[in-house]
Amino acid sequence: MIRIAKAKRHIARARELSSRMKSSFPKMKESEIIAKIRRDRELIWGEKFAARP
Amino acid sequence: MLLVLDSNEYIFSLGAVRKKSCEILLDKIVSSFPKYTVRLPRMITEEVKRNVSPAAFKEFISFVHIFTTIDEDILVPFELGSKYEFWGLKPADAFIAAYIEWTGAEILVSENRHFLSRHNDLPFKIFNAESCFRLL
Repeated sequence: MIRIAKAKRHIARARELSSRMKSSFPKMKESEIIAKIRRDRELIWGEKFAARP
Repeated sequence: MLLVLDSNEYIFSLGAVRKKSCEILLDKIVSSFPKYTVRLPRMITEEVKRNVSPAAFKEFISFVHIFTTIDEDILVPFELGSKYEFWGLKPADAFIAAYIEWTGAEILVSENRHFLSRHNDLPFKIFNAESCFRLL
């Protein structure tokens, strides 16, 4: 129960902090945000693994 | 039941732009613990890191450390990823599919409708947050 309560507290805090921060996301459509996340996935993959021998 | 939540689920649940269905799903999974458990690979945490504020990411990591564990990407067998690449998935998507198969998770939750939608013979199901919430 303590574990769940702690997890919920961190979720609530993350949401609160995100609401206060400036972001380009509110100006974007949902599909654009998803496309951006997909592009990031490919970039991260490239950075992590593509350069390996 | 073991689930893997795609990075967009965490971002839409905790980030600057939120979807009610994603928020409700994460809240339900946490409240129902240990009935539903989630696992995530390092790569998904890195995707979240790029798309939420540093302060929110810190809270996300604290949440993850309490609630589940982060699997290092390197643990996923190379052959599994290759299988999905052979099916025509992009390398990063192939890795996520391989990770889900490797963990034995039953469900991938993602708001990206195109992700893996071409394949019907996957060893796991794909739902968006809303349909997953109805199922749970």
